Amino acid sequence: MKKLAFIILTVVFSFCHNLNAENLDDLVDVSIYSNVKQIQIGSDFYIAIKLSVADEWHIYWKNPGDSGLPTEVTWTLPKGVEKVGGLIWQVPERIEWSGMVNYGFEHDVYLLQKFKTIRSVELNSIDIKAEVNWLVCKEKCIPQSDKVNIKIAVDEMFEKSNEDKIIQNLLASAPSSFKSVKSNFKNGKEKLEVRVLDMPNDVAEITDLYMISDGITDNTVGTKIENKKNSATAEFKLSPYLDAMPAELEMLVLYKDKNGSLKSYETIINNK
Amino acid sequence: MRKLSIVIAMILFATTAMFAGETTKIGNKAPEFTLKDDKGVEHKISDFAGKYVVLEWVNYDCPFVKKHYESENMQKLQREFTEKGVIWLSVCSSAKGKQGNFTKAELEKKKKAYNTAETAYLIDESGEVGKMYNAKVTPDMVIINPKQEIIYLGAIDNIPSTDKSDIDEADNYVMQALNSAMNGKAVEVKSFKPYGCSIKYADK
Repeated sequence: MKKLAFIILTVVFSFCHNLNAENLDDLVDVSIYSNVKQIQIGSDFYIAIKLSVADEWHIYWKNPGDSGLPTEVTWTLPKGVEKVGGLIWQVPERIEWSGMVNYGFEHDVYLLQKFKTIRSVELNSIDIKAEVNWLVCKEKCIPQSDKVNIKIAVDEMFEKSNEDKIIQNLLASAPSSFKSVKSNFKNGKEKLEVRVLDMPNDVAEITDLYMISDGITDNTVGTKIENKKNSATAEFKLSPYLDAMPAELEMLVLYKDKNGSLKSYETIINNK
Repeated sequence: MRKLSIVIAMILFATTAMFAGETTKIGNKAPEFTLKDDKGVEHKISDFAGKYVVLEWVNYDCPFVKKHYESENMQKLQREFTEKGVIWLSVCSSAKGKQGNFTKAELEKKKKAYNTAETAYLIDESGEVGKMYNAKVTPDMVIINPKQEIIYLGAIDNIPSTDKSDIDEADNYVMQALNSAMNGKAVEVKSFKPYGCSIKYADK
């Protein structure tokens, strides 16, 4: 009887152990798509990396906030294919937990990258490999990685893929890029004031500002935003770890447009 | 009487908040605390006046902490500086039942496996001391000089990752700050945003 109980316990334990291990490996599922099935040399195209995150877990934005690590993509490209600009991120969620604030994604997220093909390089097909590294956290954190790849045919005809529509929608909802000329910031010992003096034409009201530059602000203290006619100010508490203020700050500005739709833009502003 | 207690409580709360806010800065006096170590021995921060003290927030199950212990980076620092008279206090602010909060036996096993060399491993289950020092992640480092002033606050080094191979390339700010200060030189990097797992404080 004792032996039987021991065997049952061992089986149950090993089953639970395997189940647990299997679950941890399945926390984030990575897949890769392109907006094209086939392209001509000389054209541009997009690749999307989709990370599907298990319920209650999260991965991190390019500025992870108080803890965590940014999700990273390392590309292996064939000769004749080059990146155009940086990774295009979706607007992150503000994740508050145990007195800390993180910026990340609790559900599915797509990371987009634009590529160009060089006319002078002959290619029969385009093979793109991506190594994705992320930290997935709930109460505990687990560093994980995966490799995905995709093949795009090269021919005279251009052919959209089945995912083209999803990718176009993602591009339309991704933060736009705005070149600030007048906006600036000044900092005291503990506070940082951002003065938004120029903005895209459709901005009706700025609702929030997320620092892309890491380690500048204390994210646990809410940002005070004051909208005025054609301008806005935002007051942040500086991070206690900030050693020297950089000359430039990169930020994501969240706003409501004149129709009340939520939009965003990324910008860089200077110290004045 | 009730009103008086509310007023007293409010004053106390305000003073504590001011105290906590002000004391976690470079150049400020290290906030006083008393904590028991894993052997039950009490350690009071002011008892170490006259010596350099390192506070290291720790959670052996956090992948960022594992990076520095599995590579023996942390133990080498502990060994090098405790041999020079530095007091090295590892502080665990994980609440009961949360990751990083171990039983005595588990802790002993982990410390033995890592061959740690801290002066004492302090238990801060209530999270009071962690919050007093504004510690948010593991590892998070604080260096206190013999006058009990905070001279370094933040990350162990400048490469936020869980990858052990980054350690050789990184600038170790704890080593730099201790070497500079102990040789009468100015500490060049006084603070750097710490990277790591969030500290598993008790639920509010």
